[in-house]
Amino acid sequence: MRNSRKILFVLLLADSMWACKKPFSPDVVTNAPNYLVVEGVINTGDTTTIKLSRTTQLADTAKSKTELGAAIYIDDNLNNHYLLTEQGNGIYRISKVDLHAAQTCRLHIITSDKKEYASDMVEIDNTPPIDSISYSVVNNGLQFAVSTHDATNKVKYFRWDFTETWEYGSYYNSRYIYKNGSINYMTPDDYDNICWINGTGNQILVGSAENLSQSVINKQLITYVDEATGKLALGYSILIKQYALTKAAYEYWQKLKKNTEQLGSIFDAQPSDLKGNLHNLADANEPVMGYISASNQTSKRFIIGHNSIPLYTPNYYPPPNEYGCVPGYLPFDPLSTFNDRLARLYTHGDSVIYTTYGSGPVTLGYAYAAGNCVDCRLKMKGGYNKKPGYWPDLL
Amino acid sequence: MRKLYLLLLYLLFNCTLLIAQSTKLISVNYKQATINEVAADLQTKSGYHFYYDVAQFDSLRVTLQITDKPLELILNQAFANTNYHFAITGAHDVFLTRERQLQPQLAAGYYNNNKASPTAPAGAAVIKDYTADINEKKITKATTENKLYEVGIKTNNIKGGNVTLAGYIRDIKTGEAIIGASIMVAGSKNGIATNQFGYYAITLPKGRNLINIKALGMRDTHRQVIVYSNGSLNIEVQEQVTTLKEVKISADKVANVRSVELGATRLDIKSIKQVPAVFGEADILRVVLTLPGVTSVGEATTGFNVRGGSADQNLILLNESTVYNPAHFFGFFSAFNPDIVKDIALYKSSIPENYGGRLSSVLQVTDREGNKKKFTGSAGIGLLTSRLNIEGPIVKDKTSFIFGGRTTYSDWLLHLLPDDYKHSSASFYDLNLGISHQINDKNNLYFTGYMSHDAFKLNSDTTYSYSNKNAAIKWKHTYNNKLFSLISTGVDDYQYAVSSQANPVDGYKLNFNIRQEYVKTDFTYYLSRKHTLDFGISSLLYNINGGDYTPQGSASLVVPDKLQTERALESAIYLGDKYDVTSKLSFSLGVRYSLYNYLGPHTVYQYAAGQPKTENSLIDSTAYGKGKNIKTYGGPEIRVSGRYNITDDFSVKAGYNTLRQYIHLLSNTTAISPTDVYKLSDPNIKPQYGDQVSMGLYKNFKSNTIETSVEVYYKRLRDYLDYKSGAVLVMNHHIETDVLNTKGKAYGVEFLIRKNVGKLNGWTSYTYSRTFLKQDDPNAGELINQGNYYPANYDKPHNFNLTGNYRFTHRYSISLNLVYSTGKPITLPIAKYEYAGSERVYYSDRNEYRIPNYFRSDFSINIEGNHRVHQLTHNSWTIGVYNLTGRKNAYSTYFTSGGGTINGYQLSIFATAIPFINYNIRF
Repeated sequence: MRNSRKILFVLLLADSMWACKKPFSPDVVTNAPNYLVVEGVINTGDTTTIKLSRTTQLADTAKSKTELGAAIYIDDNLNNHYLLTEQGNGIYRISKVDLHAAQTCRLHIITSDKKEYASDMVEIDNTPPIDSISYSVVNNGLQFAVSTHDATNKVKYFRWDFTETWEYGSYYNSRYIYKNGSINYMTPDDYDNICWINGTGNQILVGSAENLSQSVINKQLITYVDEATGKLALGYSILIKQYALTKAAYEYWQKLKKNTEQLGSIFDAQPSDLKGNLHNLADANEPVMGYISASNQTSKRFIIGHNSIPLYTPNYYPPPNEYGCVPGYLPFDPLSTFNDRLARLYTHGDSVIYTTYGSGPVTLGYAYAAGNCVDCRLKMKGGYNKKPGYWPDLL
Repeated sequence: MRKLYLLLLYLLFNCTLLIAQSTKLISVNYKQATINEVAADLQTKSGYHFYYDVAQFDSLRVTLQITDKPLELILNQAFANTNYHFAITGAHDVFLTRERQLQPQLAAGYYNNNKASPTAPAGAAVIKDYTADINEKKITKATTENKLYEVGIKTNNIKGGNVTLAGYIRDIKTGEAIIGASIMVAGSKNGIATNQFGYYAITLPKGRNLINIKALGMRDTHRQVIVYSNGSLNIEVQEQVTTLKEVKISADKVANVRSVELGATRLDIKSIKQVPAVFGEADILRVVLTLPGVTSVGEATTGFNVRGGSADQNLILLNESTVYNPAHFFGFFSAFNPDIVKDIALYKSSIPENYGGRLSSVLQVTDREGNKKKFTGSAGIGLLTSRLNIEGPIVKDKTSFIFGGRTTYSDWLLHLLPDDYKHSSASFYDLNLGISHQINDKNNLYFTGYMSHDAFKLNSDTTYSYSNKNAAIKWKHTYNNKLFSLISTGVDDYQYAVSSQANPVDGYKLNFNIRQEYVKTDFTYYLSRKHTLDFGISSLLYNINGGDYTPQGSASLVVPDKLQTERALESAIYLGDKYDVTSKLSFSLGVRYSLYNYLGPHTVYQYAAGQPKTENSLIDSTAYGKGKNIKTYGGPEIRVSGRYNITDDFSVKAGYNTLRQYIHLLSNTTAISPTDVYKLSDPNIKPQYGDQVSMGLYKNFKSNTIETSVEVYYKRLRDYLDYKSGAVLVMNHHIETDVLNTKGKAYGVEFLIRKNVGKLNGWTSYTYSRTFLKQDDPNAGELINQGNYYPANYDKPHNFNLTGNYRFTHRYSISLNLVYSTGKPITLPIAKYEYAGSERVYYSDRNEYRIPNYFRSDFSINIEGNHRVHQLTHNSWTIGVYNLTGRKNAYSTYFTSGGGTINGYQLSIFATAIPFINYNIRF
């Protein structure tokens, strides 16, 4: 065999983007169905909250359409019925229902248009406590995980949701408050430079110990908090709630997760038809969204202060910060118009006085800035300046 | 004996003389020249005198350009494929004749006039091997067109009647068998094609015959034979070296019109290599996708769909070995090495009766045999892959080998990807080995081996790997001219593994394996001129390990789990007759009986009758012992087709066939994924059944250089598996509770125009096809779309393909590939609601909507090195762009809840123009 000559070859760099995803909005659906959506858990250890709403069109900007005026009962297999009270906004509530004697129960709904819906009778599960909440540093953030086990080896499926709370501050620290047309000193209850805000997860979190010899969940990922969100700037707390699930309930949640969160990679399953355990008692073909299960809820809280977080990047304070908070000045002089000008500052616009200014020992007037630079409650919608009870004084 | 030597000496002398005469080299350049112009010109240039009858030559026009060639060759070319002949004498005279050739030498028996034996040849001046005993029926090797070959036991006067002539057609350079060469007896419509070993057997009248031989990529040639009785004739043909301008009266390529098969396409590797391929490497499966009636669900998919069949309904054979996963690298490459492959054949409708076990199609990929004469090789270097092949004789002219290997180094490219895919890695290789050995004239032995391996990690901690392994031995035996047999046996193996140790507690490894062992015997019997019989019997033993789930790592709490091994025997017996009723009307009649036995050891679950199969309706289980027959399925399969020629270049064909498939691919993902599981039919899962009726019109234009066809088909499917919503397919011990039996129907019409010769060649096709499934049995557990027909995942009504190549010169050519198709069906969200902290979507009926239409154009330039025959290496380059317009074709669309709202996305693969370059070297 004659051998080949030395081979010279050139490699051209292929354009590196092979795969890409881009937004897609089909305009196919004109008359969207109007199905009932039932969300909640029959909580055997605490208050049960059920939320009723309706499906809406994809293009609708409104997040959901609440269902009002319904009567909701919890029925157990001993023929007891407990009525939930309507709280408004589609929320129905009942304080702790004693179901310890019952084996199964269901949710029974009569809507204002007299349609009757009910869930299947479901087993009442006993949720084991959460063993621990742990975190690990991933990139520039914290990855939280939960671990649990069921000593009785009965519960194999779990669902979690969580409420997170974090502390944040406004850029300027004010001790003044505008009250009754004049500027006064705040009482500590009014201090508004440090706030707390709550958030919830928006992902379905389920886990299974089905393939394991013991009912153990080890470090199930719950949420990832990146420093760029500003949630880790001062202090962060997460309250994880745990619910035991039956196998059927687990499969429902898993399907819902697959259908709505886990699509888009090359080997994904196609979206599947999703049926919960709720039915229109008169029309079995009417789809009803949601799955009702019954169990107690166990929870555990975890709090970490910024100084304890093993992240070595500079503290990140979300805007508005020094780039967005430009002070304005309200001089006392001329005094005759001061009250007028002060009133206009507060009535025309969103500015707030945060300090005085002057030249040497002489105070010339007040400095003011945009409200969201001064009052942390204005900085983030939903923020509150009353420290939660579980929040330690020193983090 | 003395006389014999004398004769030989004379002949030898005469030959030398002839050669000496013609050594003067002449250059000519004729364009539509008349015989007078040609003769006058040659007379001046050669000094020879030309004698001819002008009237006989009035219809001849010669177009020819030749530089520095002897007179003989010039005349040969000028008269090639015509019925004109020439004879050059020692006296510098040239006699031109029509129809009859003048013999300027004395007849062979001239010098021993009276003592000539009664069996002496009847007046033919040929170089004959007198040492051979004619009774031994020594096989004559025919290499020259103008010789007259004598076959059989000679008799003084030839009686009427038909005899059979058989033999091999081989490449003169490599000794390789030529498959599908057509052998036609001139002056009659009698013709036949060589089989997969280059073997032919043709019935022809006794006496003198002219046989025309035509084969893809080979020079057309003919042989003159005198046939006395049954005999053999091996023919060696030359590769179609890109010649100078040829005098081609017409290319008699009528195979598409004359064959009895419908919906069959054959492509040789040359046509395959002309199609621009992503990353520049010829890709067999992508070329298959350009054929009418073949679609795929997307770009990164290993599977293809033929006439509305699913991807697992294709039998993919590499040298008769079944390849379960014919793709590398998420389906971006096909697993066949283009340097080894010789040709492919796809049967969409008339599936030969010797094949079975799949519903939609048979794709036959045939590798070359190694060069029997000398060592050669080739190598190719591309952006992502490199390949090398070596072939040559082990024992010259008897035993040869061919070896090919490919590997990838694509990781560098993956590392350039955006962060999302940055930590991915992928590697693959494949190896081919073929050994062919000729024991003697009647016995040949072949060994083929194939192995491919893929491993990848797609930006997660999960590692996937899969591997095909195939080995086969074939023994071909020729009993006599009319009967030969092929016995083959082999093992096909496919396995994959998925493993992850991302979470030490959940560390696992999942293994899947399928292995089949088979024995097949195929006989061909050339019964008579009108009947060719095929018959045979085969047996195939399946062994499937459907899943083996084991803990990985010391901290893993995973409980080992293993699905029961499945075993089954699929046997078949078949008989086929190719019956030529008249020269215009032919039938191919075939029947196959397949028998399937599901074998123990296995525990089979029983479900309450009349109830959906669920875990709740499971009432009992029965354990069967080893080798015990648990369930038998089977039945006849019919394969018939017929052809009627309305004119020589226009025919009508029709066919009907039924098929049974005993193995199912479980997959509810869009594409075939590396974790899809194969499942055998068992007492709870019935085999799939399909039948198809089809009809076609075939017409050739412009002296058969343009082939056109229209085919229509209607197909029914039964017991095709679809899945319940949210079915779990992996590690499922009772898969029957998650699947649904559906009925299907598919219909369509396919148009094809193909041009094989000339500067511009290629094909264009348009297909309209629909595929629907239906699940209307309320007892099955759930109705899909209220029990109405719904489009299958691969239902894409409109498909248009254009594959063209234009040769500017012999060194430069360009290729263009256009693809357009309707988007595949999807299930879309039709409403949204707030649930579990986010907006969620509610989906429409299954496959109610479609993704945007698909369009892609590819372009490439092929540059060949110089064409000198004698040089160390031959080089070529391919430079091109895949997806020239950079269109972002949707692979899928999906909606996910993120950040509390619903967002729709469309995912594209190859969302930009991808340039490529490839360098090939032959030595």
